[in-house]
Parts: sequence; C-alpha cells; structure tokens
Amino acid sequence: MSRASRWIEERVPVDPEVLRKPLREPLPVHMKTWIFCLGGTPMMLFCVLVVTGILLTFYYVPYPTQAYASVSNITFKVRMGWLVRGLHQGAAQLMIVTVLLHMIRVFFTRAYRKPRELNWVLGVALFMITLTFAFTGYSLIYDQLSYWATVVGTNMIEALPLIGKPLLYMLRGGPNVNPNTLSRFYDFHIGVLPTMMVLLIGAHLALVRLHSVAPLPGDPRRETYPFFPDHMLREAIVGLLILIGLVNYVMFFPPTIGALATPGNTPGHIRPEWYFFPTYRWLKMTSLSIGIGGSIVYVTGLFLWPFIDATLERIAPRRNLWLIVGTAFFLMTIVFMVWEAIVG
Amino acid sequence: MENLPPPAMVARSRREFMADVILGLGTTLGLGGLAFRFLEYLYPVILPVKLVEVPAGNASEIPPDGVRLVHLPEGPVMLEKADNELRAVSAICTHLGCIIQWHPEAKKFICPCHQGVYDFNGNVLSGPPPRPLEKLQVKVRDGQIFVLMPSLKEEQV
Repeated sequence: MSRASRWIEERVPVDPEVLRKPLREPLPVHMKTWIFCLGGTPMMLFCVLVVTGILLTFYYVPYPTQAYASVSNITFKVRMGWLVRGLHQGAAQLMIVTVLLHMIRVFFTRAYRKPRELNWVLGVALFMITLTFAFTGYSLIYDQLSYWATVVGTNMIEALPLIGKPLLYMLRGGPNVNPNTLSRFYDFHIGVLPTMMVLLIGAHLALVRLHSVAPLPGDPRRETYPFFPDHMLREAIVGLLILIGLVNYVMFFPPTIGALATPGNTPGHIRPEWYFFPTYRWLKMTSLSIGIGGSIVYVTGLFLWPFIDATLERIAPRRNLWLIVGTAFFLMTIVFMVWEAIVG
Repeated sequence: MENLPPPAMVARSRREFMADVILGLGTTLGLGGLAFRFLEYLYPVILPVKLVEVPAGNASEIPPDGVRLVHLPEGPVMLEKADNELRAVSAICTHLGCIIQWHPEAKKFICPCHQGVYDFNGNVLSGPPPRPLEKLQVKVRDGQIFVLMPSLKEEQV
C-alpha cells in the first residue's frame, strides 16, 4: 500500500471492500440489452440539467420586468449562452422522453409487482417532479407561453375541492399572478424540486439495490454479470451518445425566445409543450370539474398501478387484465397527444 | 403457570416510559408548531378587495351593437353597446383565466386557450367554461365610461 493511500485510510477509516461491493452488484443477464439502460439515462440528463441550470442562474433574473430580457441576453449576448440554455432545454425535453420510455419498459415487464410496488410509487413521484420541473422551467422565460401557462396551470389548482383556493394563493403568493409568483416558481425550480429529486432518486436507487433487479417474466436464465464495469460501460456509452446528440442538436437548432409576455392579451394560437398535450386535449373536451377530476383520477391510478394490477389478478387470474387495462390507458394517452399535435 | 419470568419488553420502568412519551410529544408539537409557522410565513398577505371606478374611455367610441376590448390596469374588459345601452363584462374566461376574443362575424366570444364559446351577453354557448362571463357595473358621466372593478392598486406584499 502506498504512503498516500495509507495516509487517507488512517483518516477516513472505511474498508475499501465496503465501497467496492455495490459496484460489483450482480445483475441478471437479461439486462444486457440497451433497453435496460433507460433508467440510468434520466439520471445522467439530470446531471446535465444541474450543471447547465447552475450556469443559467448566473445571468437569469427572476423578476417580471427583467426575466425576459435576461433570458434574451443569455440566448443572444452572453458568450456560449445559446449553448448552455440550449443544452438545458434539450436535456429537459429528453429527460421527459427517457423517463416515459423507462416507465413503459417497467410497465410491460411488470417489474413493479410485489415486493417492488413502492419503487413504482417513488418512480411516479419522480415523473411528477420532472413534469413540475418542466412546467416551472418554461414559466421562468416570461414569454407569452410562460405567462399563459402560469395563469392556466395555477387556475387549474383553484378548481381543486376545499384546498384549491388556499393552495392557489400559496403558489402564486397572492390572489393573482404577480411578481411573487415568478419568485416562487424560481424557488421551486432551483431549490425545492432539486432537493426532492435528489432525495427520491437516492431512495429509488436504494430500493432497486435492496430488492435487486426484478426478474424478467418468462426468462429461465439465472446467470449474472457485474454492474461494474459491464453495465456501467453500457450506461456510459448511452450517456455519451446522448450528450453528443444533444450538443449537435443545439448547434443546428440554437434556442430561441417567443414574444414578451403581455398580461392583457392571450395570443390566438397558444398551447403548452407536447408532454402536456393529453391533459390539454382532455381539458378542452370536458367541463372544468370533469377535466380536473379526470386528471386526478388518472394520476392516482398511475401511482397505485401495482396495487390495481394485483387486484385485477385476484379478480380474474391468468386473464392478463393488467395488459388490457394498461394498454388501453397507454393508447388513450398517445391518441390524445397525437390528436392535439395534429388538430391543434 | 406460576413464577414465569417477566417478558423482556417490560424491562422499562414507568418513569422511563413517561419520559419517552413527554420527549416524543414535545418534539412532535415543537417541530410541528414551527412547521406550521413556516407555512404561515409562505401564505401571502391578502389585501381586502375594494371596488373602484376605473375610467374606460369615451362612450361615443363604442359603435352601436359593437364590442370593444379595453385593457384597464385592473384587468381586461369587454364594453358592449346594445340598443344604445352600454354594458361591460370581464374579458377573463371563467374556465382557466385566459382572455377571450370577440369574433364579430359570428357574434361570439371565443377563448383561445380551451375553446370556450360565449354569446354577446356572456352566456356559455359551448366548451368547458363553468360560468357565464362576469358582469361588471358600468357608469357613463359626461360621455366618459367608468367600470366598477376590484382595485389592484395596493401593492402585493
């Protein structure tokens, strides 16, 4: 042992073997396909978002009269500002895509079943946090889409029974959308949500490790391979490819900025980002109470899915009701999304 | 069945148990109370609503059977003239708060956000809005229009 490592070991008395053990975690061989790298990708993108996000805070000003100009400065004047903002925006979009793909993978391999139900619940919570990140993120730009998304999004909260109004005031920092609203959204975006995200990612990973990876239904193989270096290498390759793709995308399609928010005028053609299309379509089709109620039922169903699956199994064993119900909801969501994308 | 040794659980004395209860309750109440104060800190100061007369231009500028959107500091308002009578409705959609637009050819108000449709009187024709548009009191003095609206003048704390 070198003098340097002995010096460190005396002062940090940790057995290196304890640190190495989680790296050697044996993984089932079915994970040796690219599709099982999806769970790691949102985490890598989150790291990109943390780094670029911290860089953005150096120039961003969360006040209505200055927010738009500061984003505009970042995009067009600050050296490499277009790259930092473009990467932040691109990584955010990709993060939603990869979280969705990871959820679809977990769903169709039924990896959420007993005893892993709570990790699905944690996963859905992480998905909701990701969407709240996205929503508060595009509200900060203070262009027309930001402003009207904030108005509509917060008004939706008012429609909640009982807690609607106090919760709305709490989020807006007043009865109407006002300067407090922007500070609060900014605070959520750079303080509250990242803290929750890091804690929940930690719990999510810890539970995966404590249970070990879920077996693949119908796969008789029992062989394993180590997390490090085999799986880590695969994840690293995916991460690097994503980063290369992202940088190239931003170079060819640098970020832009919409028209400045004007509280007096809702533009004629306005709609949220693509990931809110299903909700948006649903809100247009139904009355306010059914619109909000339906959304709550949908999200609750998503959270409780492992338990719904177990109940369906008890009602009609071996009928694969989980697949029918799950696919129906999945297709409905896709149809709403594509419908809104095409019809507008 | 006699002279059984007491179970290991009862090793704590009553005094120790009481100490645990008091400690547990005290911590919960103390931290809970502090958390409640923090929530109070976050809850905004809501100032009382005061109705004010907001000047909204000249009555002669509104054509007969016409509609005009005016942007007042207190919010957007649709001024309408029907049978030479001047009326005002709030231009804020009752669904989720976007600003409606007047479509003169169809004689309808349409909300660009979720396609709520209202008639000339502000009643819902189709789409998701839960209520008609809010009717506002309007006065004309010396040809000048005044709309009675909740004041936003006081600064939000």
